[in-house]
Order: sequence, then C-alpha cells, then structure tokens
Amino acid sequence: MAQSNPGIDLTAAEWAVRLHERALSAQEQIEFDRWLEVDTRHRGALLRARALWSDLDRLAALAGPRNAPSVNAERDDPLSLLSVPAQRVAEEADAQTAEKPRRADLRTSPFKLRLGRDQPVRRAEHRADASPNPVNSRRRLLVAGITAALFGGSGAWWLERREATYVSKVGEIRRVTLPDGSRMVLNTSTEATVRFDKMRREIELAGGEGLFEVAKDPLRPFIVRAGSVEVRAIGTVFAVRSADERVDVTVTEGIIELVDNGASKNAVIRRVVANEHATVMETSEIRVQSLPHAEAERRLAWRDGQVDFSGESLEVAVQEINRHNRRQIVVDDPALASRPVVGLFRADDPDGFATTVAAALGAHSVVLDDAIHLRLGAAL
Amino acid sequence: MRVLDDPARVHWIATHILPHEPEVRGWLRRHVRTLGVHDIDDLLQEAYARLWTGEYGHITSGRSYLFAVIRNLLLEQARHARIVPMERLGEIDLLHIPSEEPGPDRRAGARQELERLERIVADLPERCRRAFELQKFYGLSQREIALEMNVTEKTVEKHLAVALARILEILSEDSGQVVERVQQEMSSDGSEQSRD
Repeated sequence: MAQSNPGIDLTAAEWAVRLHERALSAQEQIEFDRWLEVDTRHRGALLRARALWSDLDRLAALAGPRNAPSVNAERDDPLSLLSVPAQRVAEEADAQTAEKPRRADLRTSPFKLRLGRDQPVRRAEHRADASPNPVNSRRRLLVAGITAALFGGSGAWWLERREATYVSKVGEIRRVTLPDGSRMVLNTSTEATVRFDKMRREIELAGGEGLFEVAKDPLRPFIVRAGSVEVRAIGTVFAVRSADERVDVTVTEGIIELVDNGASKNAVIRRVVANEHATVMETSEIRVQSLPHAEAERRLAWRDGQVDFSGESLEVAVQEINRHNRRQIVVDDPALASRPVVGLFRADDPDGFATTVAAALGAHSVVLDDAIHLRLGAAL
Repeated sequence: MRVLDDPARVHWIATHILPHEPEVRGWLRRHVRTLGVHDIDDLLQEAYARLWTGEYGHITSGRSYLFAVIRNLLLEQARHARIVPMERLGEIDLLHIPSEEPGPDRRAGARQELERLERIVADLPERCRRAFELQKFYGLSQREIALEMNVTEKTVEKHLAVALARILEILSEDSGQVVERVQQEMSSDGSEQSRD
C-alpha cells in the first residue's frame, strides 16, 4: 500500500538519522532495501531527508558553537533578536539579568500559534525557573554578529538619519533591501522616499505600489505613508497601492494599523490582519474585506513580473497590463470589455496578452499607431 | 552505485538543490494553481529521486536543474493523463525559469533559514528539542546523548527523526499532520522511553 506523503517523510527521516550515525544491522538493511523498492518517491524522500540532516550541521555552525549543554537556556524571542542591530543586542546582553520587556504581543509567530497542547506552558515554567545563563548571552552576541555580517553591518547606521528616494520606471519592478534588512519591492512607475532614523522607519509613497517585508524591530515602528493614509507595521508583509484617489492595502502576514489623517478631524484608526484587504477612499471611508490567503498572494503576483486574473473584466485586466507598458492596449468593443479574463500573464508582454485573450474570447488584435486594438470577431 | 555510500552526493544535493526547494514550491503554488500540496510533495520527491543515480558533476546551476526537472515532470504527467485540464497545459507554458536575483534574496534566505530553525527547534517537543540541540549544537553522538538523557539510543534516534520530520514538514509548509501524529505517538508511549 502506498504511504501518504507525511508518512513517507517520517520514515525517510528515521532512515536518514540512522544512516548519518552508523551502519545498518542486517535486519535493518533488509527492511531498508524493501522500503526503497516499494516506490521511487521513497528514494527522493530519503535523499531530501539526508540532504537536510547534513545541511543542519551547516546551519548549526552558523548559529555559533556552544560549549556546555544547557537544556533550559532561555529562549525568549529569538526572532526580534535577529533583526535588532548588533550594538543594541550587545547592550541588551549586558543587561540580561534585568527583567526583559514583554514582547510576545508585539510579534507574530505562526509556528507558536500552530503548536497547541501543553508544550509551551511547560516550557514557560522551565524558563521561569532557569537562572540567567552566560552561554545564552554569548549566543545572542554570536547571532547578532551573524546578522550584522549578513547585512554588511555598517557601524551605527541607525544613529544617522538617512533619506533616499527610489523610483521605478514604467514596466520596471524594483527591489530594494533597506538598511534594517527589510525589503521593499516597487511595482511599475512608483516613487518611494525612505527616511530611517533612531526612532522610526518611514517610507513615503508618492504614487504607485510597493510591497514591504518588514524586519522586526518593536522599538522602531515601520510606517508607510500614502497621502493622508499611514500604514504602521512592526514585522509583517503588506502591499500599499496609491492611485485614483484611493489607497489599497493588502496584508499577507502579520498585522498592520491603518491610520487616516484625512477628511475628518480625528484620525481614523483601523487594524488590518493577514489575508485582509483594506481600501481607504477619498472620503476617508475605510473598507476591510478578508481574502483567502491564495487570493492575497495572487494580488501580489506582480512581484514576479506577472499579473494574475481570475475573472476580472477585460477592461480591468487591460488597465492593469497598461500600467506596466508604454505600448498600450485598447478594447474597441464594449461587449468585449465586459468579458471575464482568467490566467497568469507576463506584465511586460502586452502583445502576448492580446494574442492570448483574443484567442480565448473570439476576438482579434490589430496594431494601429503602436497601440494594440482588441476587436470582436475573427481576424480578417 | 548506492547513494548511501556516497556522502559527496548528499552534500552536493544539500548545497545545490535543497536551498532552492522553497522557491520552487512557492513558484508551483503560485503558478500551477491546479496542483494540491501533495502533488507538489510528489513532484519534489520525484525530482530528488532523479538524483539517486547518474552524474551530477556537470550540473552548473542546481536551481536551473531543479526547475527544469520539475517542468519535465509536469509535462510528463500532462502527457500521461487521459484528460489534461486546459488550464494546466497553459500553466506549464508559463513555467519559464524565473530570473535569479542573487544579492538580497540570498542574504534574506540565510537570515530566514536561521530564524526558522530557531523557531522550529523552540517548538519541538521538549525531549526532541533536547536531543536535537545536543547533537547539532553541541556535537554529541547518539550514544552520548543517550547517556546524557538517560534513555536508550533507539529512543534518541526516534527523537532525532521526529525533529528531522518536523523540519522537513515545515520546509514543505505542509499542514502539520506529521508532527501532530508523532506527538500523539510519543506522548502515548512516553513512559516506556525512560530507562529508570
């Protein structure tokens, strides 16, 4: 009987661990050979498991050597630690014995949420009992050192105030790694100004669309401004689009706070969580709708230079493709413009889009004055 | 040639193929929407299985190789299926290999890997986590871990296998079935594992 995938992985893991450490006994060898013969996928699963097990040695080395086994080493918040600059971690390490601020509510940890049962509680008790541990402090420094190395740690960068403007041209997708390790991806014709200092991380979106993967730093909020709208994040992934007098925000991970300082006297604040989409209209009305995760991801297909349609009208689809290209598409027949479009298209290939859509909708395309016209009926 | 006698091959896979797996999976999830999670697992296992034998020394880019193998497997599946969903054929045509952006992506990858490992290890069942840390972070052998934890070597093996299965599972961002099942198994016979 064929094993299910998760079952295969567990069996593969057992063999991988054994083979890594020792020779198999004669009985085990027979079992092992039999398991391998049953299904070619088993070989693949075993190779993958062995590769990962040996690769973990590399990662463990990356995390730094540890001398004495210390089973209950305090392990609060390794995450935010990884995104805090080395200098600050060094200070924190010195002050290890002091009580640390509670940060649990500031970060999002999908793995924690998934665990369930009594494990976390038990571990928390251990942690409360454990005395401050020098091994752990050293480890923090090591990890911080690695982080600094990974990002080309350049002195006390966060002491300076930095400002830089990034512009993407029509059809260009621009990727920028920010000084704190956050990542910014600018969609076609977008302008973003980045201002970082000791207190805050600010980005001003003058127009267009940006995707932000925010490195966690609870001490310095990450704020994206688009007109009167502010999006505040701590560590999360979201996209902001500012066009046609409205601002659209799609969140794929974590939580953001949406602040509108627009029309009304008092700022309107609204929380938006992962897999939600918020629209702020010029009237300062905020609409929030939830999206399936796949849908949220779909809306960000432009990261890969693609546009993904799942039933939008041709009119909307053409607007989207036109955003990315100088060569424009025009739909000549209103009846055609309302037809639905499904599929994944390259954003920078208007001709390919027109040809595919024409074939699917029983239309044809004509090039006039460097614009592509879509018309009903077969080609002449 | 038996792969278990070939640590160089395992090492090559670990350094040239494994790092690209999350990207390939993400790509498949996003772009071949008719595939389910298990279809993706199957594809990846098949792709690894093709590295079981044969030369790999000539492969210059593990990433391109992995994408190419996956693409061929999809095409093979499409050819063999009696009814091929139109959508899937169209999708396969779009499976051109995305361009590589080495700089920021690589570095973010290394950082994320470390973050992930930290999180995964922190969330392992207590004894699993301990066995894993003793082996990978402190470099103890299974025998030494068995002495340290006062359990049999077989139990240590089991703890380590659960840790590895968990990491494999998270690498494929599966729904959490393996670990839940394993945790149940471990807690139901947990009392026998101590060697008092």
